[in-house]
Amino acid sequence: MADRIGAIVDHMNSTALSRNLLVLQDSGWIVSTFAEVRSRADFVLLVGAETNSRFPRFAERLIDPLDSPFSDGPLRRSVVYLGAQPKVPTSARVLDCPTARLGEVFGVLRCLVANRPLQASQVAGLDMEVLRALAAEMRSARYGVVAWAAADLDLPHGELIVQSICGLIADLNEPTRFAGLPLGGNDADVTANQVALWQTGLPLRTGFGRGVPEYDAYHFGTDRLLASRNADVLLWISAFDPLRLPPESDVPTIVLGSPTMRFAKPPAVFIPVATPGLHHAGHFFRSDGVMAIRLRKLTDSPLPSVADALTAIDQAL
Amino acid sequence: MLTRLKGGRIYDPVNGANGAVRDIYVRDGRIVAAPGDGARPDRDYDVSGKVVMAGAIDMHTHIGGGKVNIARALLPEDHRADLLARTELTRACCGHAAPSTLATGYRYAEMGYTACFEPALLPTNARQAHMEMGDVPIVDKGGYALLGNDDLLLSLMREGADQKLINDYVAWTLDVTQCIGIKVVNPGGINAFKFNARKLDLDETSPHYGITPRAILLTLAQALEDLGVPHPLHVHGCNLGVPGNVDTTLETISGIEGLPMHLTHIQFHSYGTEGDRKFSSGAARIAEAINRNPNISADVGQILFGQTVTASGDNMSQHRNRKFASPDKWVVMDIECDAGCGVVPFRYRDQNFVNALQWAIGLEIFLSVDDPWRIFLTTDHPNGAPFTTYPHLIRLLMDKTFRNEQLARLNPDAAAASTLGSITREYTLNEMAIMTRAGPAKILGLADRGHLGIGAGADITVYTDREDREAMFRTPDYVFKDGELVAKEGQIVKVTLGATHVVKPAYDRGIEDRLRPYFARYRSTRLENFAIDEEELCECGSSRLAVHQCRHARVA
Amino acid sequence: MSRLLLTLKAVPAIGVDCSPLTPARLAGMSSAAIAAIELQSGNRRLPAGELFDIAGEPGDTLVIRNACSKLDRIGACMNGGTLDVEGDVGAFLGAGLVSGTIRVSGGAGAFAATGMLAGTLHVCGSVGDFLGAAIAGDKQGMLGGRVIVDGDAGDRVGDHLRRGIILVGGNAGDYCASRMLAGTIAVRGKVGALPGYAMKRGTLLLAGAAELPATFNDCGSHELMFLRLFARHLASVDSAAASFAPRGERVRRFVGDRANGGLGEILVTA
Repeated sequence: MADRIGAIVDHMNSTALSRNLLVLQDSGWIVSTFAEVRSRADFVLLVGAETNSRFPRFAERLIDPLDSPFSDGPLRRSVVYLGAQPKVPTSARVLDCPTARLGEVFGVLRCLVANRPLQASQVAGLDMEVLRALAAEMRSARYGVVAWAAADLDLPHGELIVQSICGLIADLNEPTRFAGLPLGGNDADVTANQVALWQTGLPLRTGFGRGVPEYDAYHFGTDRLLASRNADVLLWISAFDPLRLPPESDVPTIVLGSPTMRFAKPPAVFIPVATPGLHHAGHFFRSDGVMAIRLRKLTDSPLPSVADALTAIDQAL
Repeated sequence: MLTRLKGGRIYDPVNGANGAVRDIYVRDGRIVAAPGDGARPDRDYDVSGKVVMAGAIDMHTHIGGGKVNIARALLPEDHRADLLARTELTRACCGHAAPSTLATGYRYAEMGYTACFEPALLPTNARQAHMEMGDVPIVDKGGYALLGNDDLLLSLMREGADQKLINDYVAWTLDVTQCIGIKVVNPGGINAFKFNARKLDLDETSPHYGITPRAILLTLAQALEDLGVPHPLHVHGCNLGVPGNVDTTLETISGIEGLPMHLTHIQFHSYGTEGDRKFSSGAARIAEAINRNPNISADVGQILFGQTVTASGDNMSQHRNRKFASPDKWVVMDIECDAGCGVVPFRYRDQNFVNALQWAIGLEIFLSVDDPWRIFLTTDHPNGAPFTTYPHLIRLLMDKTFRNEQLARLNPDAAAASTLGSITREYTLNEMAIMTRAGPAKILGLADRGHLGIGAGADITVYTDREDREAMFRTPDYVFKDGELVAKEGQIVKVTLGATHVVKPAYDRGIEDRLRPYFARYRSTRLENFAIDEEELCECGSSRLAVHQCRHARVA
Repeated sequence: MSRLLLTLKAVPAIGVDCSPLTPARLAGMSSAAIAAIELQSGNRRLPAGELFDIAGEPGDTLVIRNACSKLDRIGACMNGGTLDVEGDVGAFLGAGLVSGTIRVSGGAGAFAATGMLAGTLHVCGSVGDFLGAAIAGDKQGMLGGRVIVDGDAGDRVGDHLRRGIILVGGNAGDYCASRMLAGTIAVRGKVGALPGYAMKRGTLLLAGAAELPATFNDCGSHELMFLRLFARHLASVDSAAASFAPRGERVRRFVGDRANGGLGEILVTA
């Protein structure tokens, strides 16, 4: 439908998503997936405050289990938090520093790992000797992992922090094996981006106004389009989460959402829709972007699916 | 509805037609016998003097699945330069090195291709691959499931598991991932890379498991033989791209002990170490080995000059190749104790000695293998070049003068180091029909594709016979998919859905009891959520599941 | 000398791609033909004549009057001539500029001078983020030419800058000269957080002390011949942005970003 009417397609989480995507488009990365981390990682660095609260099952399923198909005894796994006190208390080591300085901290770690001398004696409140020890520990890991949630790096140009993390990982793959683990996947953000990529060749924030796809990572973000008034209607879809309401704007808004959605300011049009994986089948990409999960229909619903509703709208146009 | 293609010159090697003039009749998507006097075709196409072949089949092309989508994500700048505008029939999308699924289907069909096989379908990522292939319109699809670096198989081998158990695991993998063949990429090497090994030779034992690539190849090839799977083990060998790997490849051929084996993108595995630059052509030795061993087939993986992106399961090699990334960005992934992938953009340059010699080596192999039934036309899309370069490649093979003109423009040292200039062979239309239609159908076990006999699926391409073979093969006059006209003079006229080709060898379902606890404990998905059924496949955009016969049903 | 005057009639609702309006493209065209040129605006195409009053003769100089921030891609890929804009402009000002001079009396949006090859771009007001920077996926931002901003610049000035000179008369935002490959950036006012972040090569010249990333090393105080040449080079530039260039005095030289092995330099005048 977006193709036919010349709309721009974005996702409610794409500001966070684009922090990873912009790095992929600029320098790429070395990453891993859940089962590898669970079975192999002998060192895990968790970046930001919320990796364990935003993704509660992540620690429970991937970090805590220490049985490995590759070692005879239990795996010895060091876990370090870097960036902020985790929201959920942990017994692991915590290196506290402001999120805004994380890129610089990873830059210093890159120098320490590669033995490039620096004059600085501390960075972001962290003593150089503490970081030197951390760098040494990372170098001696057999399979190390750095996990981050792009949503946690919630400041302008957060992609530069991700790029610094990925640079460190690439450096560490000279002497040993290391991989990143980007955490995301909420509200089908990874799913939407995957489908946009394969169908059009371009990620979210692609517009069709010109009759050909046009990608603009900066100007085609929803917030910027609304603020600049370069969009004159907003179609907001939230079939999973009734709490994800459209942003405040004076642009006419149509919402396809869960029937339990409650609005402070009612949209121009509200079409209640069924929930994927409850009322109809579908697919959903997990956080690591590799495993697609099949969502099955569990019960009937009188409501249309998002696809049904969009098809009907498209036909009526 | 009865359709007639009237008066064409038929190139149908399976049925012995080498330019014979004959009418072709189509009804309900299949080729039918001439319906006798009085039957009036509902549609009549006068194709007098035109060249008529079955629809072309690309037996090795990376069209869908995780690594292709990573390649797409990596290259917005490449996509911006090749935009396909929306039409009444087709959607707006992007092409070039890692084209969108839609562009892939449109452009293959426009070139007269009607089936494409994705050669590196990670079992873990099978669902995504099928979703992507479901969104490749018009053409039929199929996939080869990757095994040989998964910790499960290697554990079974280390435990000394019975071949029968491994056969069940292989057959189960084909079944639940909906694939038509098994591929192994850098056997054991991707796994070894996770243990920080940077190379693994054919007879080197892998870290932790202590298994050699040779043993992995033999075990998997034996499994496919036992199961009667038509497509031989599809092998991306050890030491891809490494000078001197011609010896590895020759040992791989002898090491398979006569079992059927398909060596893919063999050009990348045919390098010697002679000369000042320690890089030379091993094409003659490779071609000689293929000619001598009837159990061996190969596709070439020809490189052609320009920008592309290399996307491979071989993350060990791709991590090595990151230094050559152009533009400088690349992705390496370790995936789910199952496999890996690596994506590295690359620009092949005709003035670069190595690239120019790679070009010549590919062509030398094409022209030195005697049997066109055992050599296949591929660029390992997009690794050697995007598939849209096929018409150019066909002209290089069919037109010696053109080929030598191109050779003269290359890095002169590379041209001097190659025997290509002295090779006079030119592929004939009949040989081209074998290499791009009949041969792929035969080696995949597609009984009703790749030929124009009675009962065959009506995938038909009609060309105007032009001296410029590139122009001829770029823009067929008509392309029919299952009897429907889908492209006319290079323009899509109808968008259809293609089938998914699979094999279903018999196996003991008890294997699932053995696999279930492993999945529960070490994988991040349950066994029950792993399998893909026909209903799901069709939800993803496949028109139907086309199940092909195995050579024999094993007694369970 | 002939001049063509395009006067914007009203602020368009959705941003308009003005890249077809360059002196070279309009040369020799009749007013009617110019009025018929279709300009992309969102998912519509609007005739230029609907948006602009057209006066004068097309030639070497094109004047756009009454401009506003809804006019995007002004002078994009322009090849020769002079484009004089009265008012503000939107995004991608002078993107891919091949040659010629663009002057804007007001401010400009984001990604001005991205992919610019040569020529001169002069913005009298302030510019948004990503001045002379690369768009997503591109490994190189501005590739040559001269950019002068009299006012302030946003974040990421010269991200991936490959060649050329950027002068900022006012302040620059965060991550100034991020991932810079080569070329020169000079900022007369203050810079925001982490200047030189992930810089590979090139020169960032700062008029006053700034807090640099910990991954830059202090290489001491120098008197650099480069600065004299640079000042001489800028002598002809009619802007306060050019006037501060140090003329011979010593600068403190910092080298980085060592995080990625970079050997860029940040020169700070005393």
